[in-house]
Amino acid sequence: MKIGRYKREISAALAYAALLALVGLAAPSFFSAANLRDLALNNAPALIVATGMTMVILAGQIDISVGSQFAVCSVAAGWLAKAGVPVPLLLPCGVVIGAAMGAVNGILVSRLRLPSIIVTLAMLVAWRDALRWTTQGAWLQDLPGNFQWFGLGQTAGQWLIVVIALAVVAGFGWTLYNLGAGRAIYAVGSDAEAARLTGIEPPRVVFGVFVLMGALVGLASLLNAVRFSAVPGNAGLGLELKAVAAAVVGGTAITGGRGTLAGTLIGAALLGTVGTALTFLGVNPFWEKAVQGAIILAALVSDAALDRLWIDDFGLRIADCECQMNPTNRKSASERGG
Amino acid sequence: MNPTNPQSPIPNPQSAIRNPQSAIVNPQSVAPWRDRLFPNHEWVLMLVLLFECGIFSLSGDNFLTSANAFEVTRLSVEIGLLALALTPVIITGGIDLSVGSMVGLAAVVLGSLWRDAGLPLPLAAAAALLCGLTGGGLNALVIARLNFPPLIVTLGTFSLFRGIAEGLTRGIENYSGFPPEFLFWGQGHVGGVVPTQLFVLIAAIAGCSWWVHRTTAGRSLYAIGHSAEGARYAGIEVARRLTFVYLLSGLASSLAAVIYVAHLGQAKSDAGTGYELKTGCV
Repeated sequence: MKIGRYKREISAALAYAALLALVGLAAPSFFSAANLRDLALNNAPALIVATGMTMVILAGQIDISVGSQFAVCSVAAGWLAKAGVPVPLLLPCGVVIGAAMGAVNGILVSRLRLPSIIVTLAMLVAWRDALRWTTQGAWLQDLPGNFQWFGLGQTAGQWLIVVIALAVVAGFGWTLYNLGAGRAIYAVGSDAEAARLTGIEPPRVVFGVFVLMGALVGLASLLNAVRFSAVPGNAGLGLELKAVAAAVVGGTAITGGRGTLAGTLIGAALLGTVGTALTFLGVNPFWEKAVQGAIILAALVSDAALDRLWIDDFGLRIADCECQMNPTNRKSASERGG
Repeated sequence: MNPTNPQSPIPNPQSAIRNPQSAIVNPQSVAPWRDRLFPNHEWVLMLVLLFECGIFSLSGDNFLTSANAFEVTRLSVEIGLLALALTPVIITGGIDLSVGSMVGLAAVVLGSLWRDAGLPLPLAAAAALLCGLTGGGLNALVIARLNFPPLIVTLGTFSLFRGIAEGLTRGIENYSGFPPEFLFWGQGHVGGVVPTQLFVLIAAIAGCSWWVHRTTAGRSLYAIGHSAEGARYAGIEVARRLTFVYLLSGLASSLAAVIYVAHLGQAKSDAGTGYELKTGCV
């Protein structure tokens, strides 16, 4: 295994280790079982969405409508539960509703060839405002008693959520690397025309990626909703940027074709832990967003610095190689996606 | 976004850049007036707007009054300023997600310098504008000089600026009680009916559209958006133009923040939340 290929993941992991070490020294109670469980629970839904987002970005697209889809799925699940749908059926229902919304994005992007950032921006507004109109901003209350924790009780429910989230990351991570469908996502994101010439149909891959994204959003929204006894109408605000940030901090190139789910896992953990870590370090938690933004910028800049340091498989510095291939190409860093 | 079809439909960029005069006089003078005035089918938007106004005037009694028309424009000044500054950014193929957060940060800087540091308001407003320029400069540095994708860079600063605003105010501070001379800029009327800040927006629109459509520098933005590499070979200083575009975006955000504070009479760290996406829509 060539370690240089995973330098972005490794640098994110090192940053995370440094953060954990710092917190461990300053406030060992951070590592109490209760706190770790809360952290895992709070971040599980965002991690699932970031998994889907990584695949969308790998395919060279972006989906910024996930926050609104998340809210629609949460509220729909709440309605279904109140209408008497048995609780075990809610999970597949949420996934199907999410997949349907993802399919709308997928058709618009892959068949009509519209830019994904514009399509999903429109959907972000459309779903959010449609939901606001329908619910009139009210929260769904008086849910059936067995809605919370899927009727499994708190401990089992919490384990279920964390296990599902990790299983999703592990399952998709394996698929991306070992199945043809997973490799096709990388191929389309690297060069759609070359992928087409090798027999892959890029529109189908792009469509599939958006449907998967929607399905994962549906799953994540359910796992989030069952933690509470009421469903808010404004769930998932800002989720899209959280998911993109987790993918990027974990080393996924925004231009597509490069990245791993292991990196996304580290990125989501890093960004998700910062807020709590600040509290344990005695810093006002309102600085959380500032630190997260600084982490994103630091990830970009360290990426550029790493490119100059690491030696690739042929014993050449990667930066030198690119200079030789295209001596005047000053845009190369941005085309690689940083 | 569409790798199988790299030709983007910008008509004849070369001649437009090398010789802007000929672009104005020659090929377009034969085009029908509609294409000349609205090259991107903006007339469709006009029809939708007229239709919407028609519906509202039928359903409400006092929609179709001049007073209401002016009040609507008052509400759209802040968004309008941001959209205006974002247009050059988008023309170059970039995006600036941090504008909404910069509104929040500049509003907090204005409020805290005026109330806590005791600076006179004009000075505090100038500091807020400076803060916008600095934030725009940060974006410009990382995007134009270090060549990183604008989407990710401004996603980072989106979080950074809002975070600093929240950190400075600990999420609770709300600066209010501004003097009436200042509030006039956001709540007052000129000649009894025209909202004050409308003049700011009109001046900004005039300046911006002159720059983008009537100067070589502005027209070169289209070339950069078409192909940054090609523009560089054509002798355009891509990095300098991009730097200017992001600086302008930061400045417009802070200007919008000053007007926002004058309009609402309070400065809080959540000012401008969600503006980045609204503006992108516009």
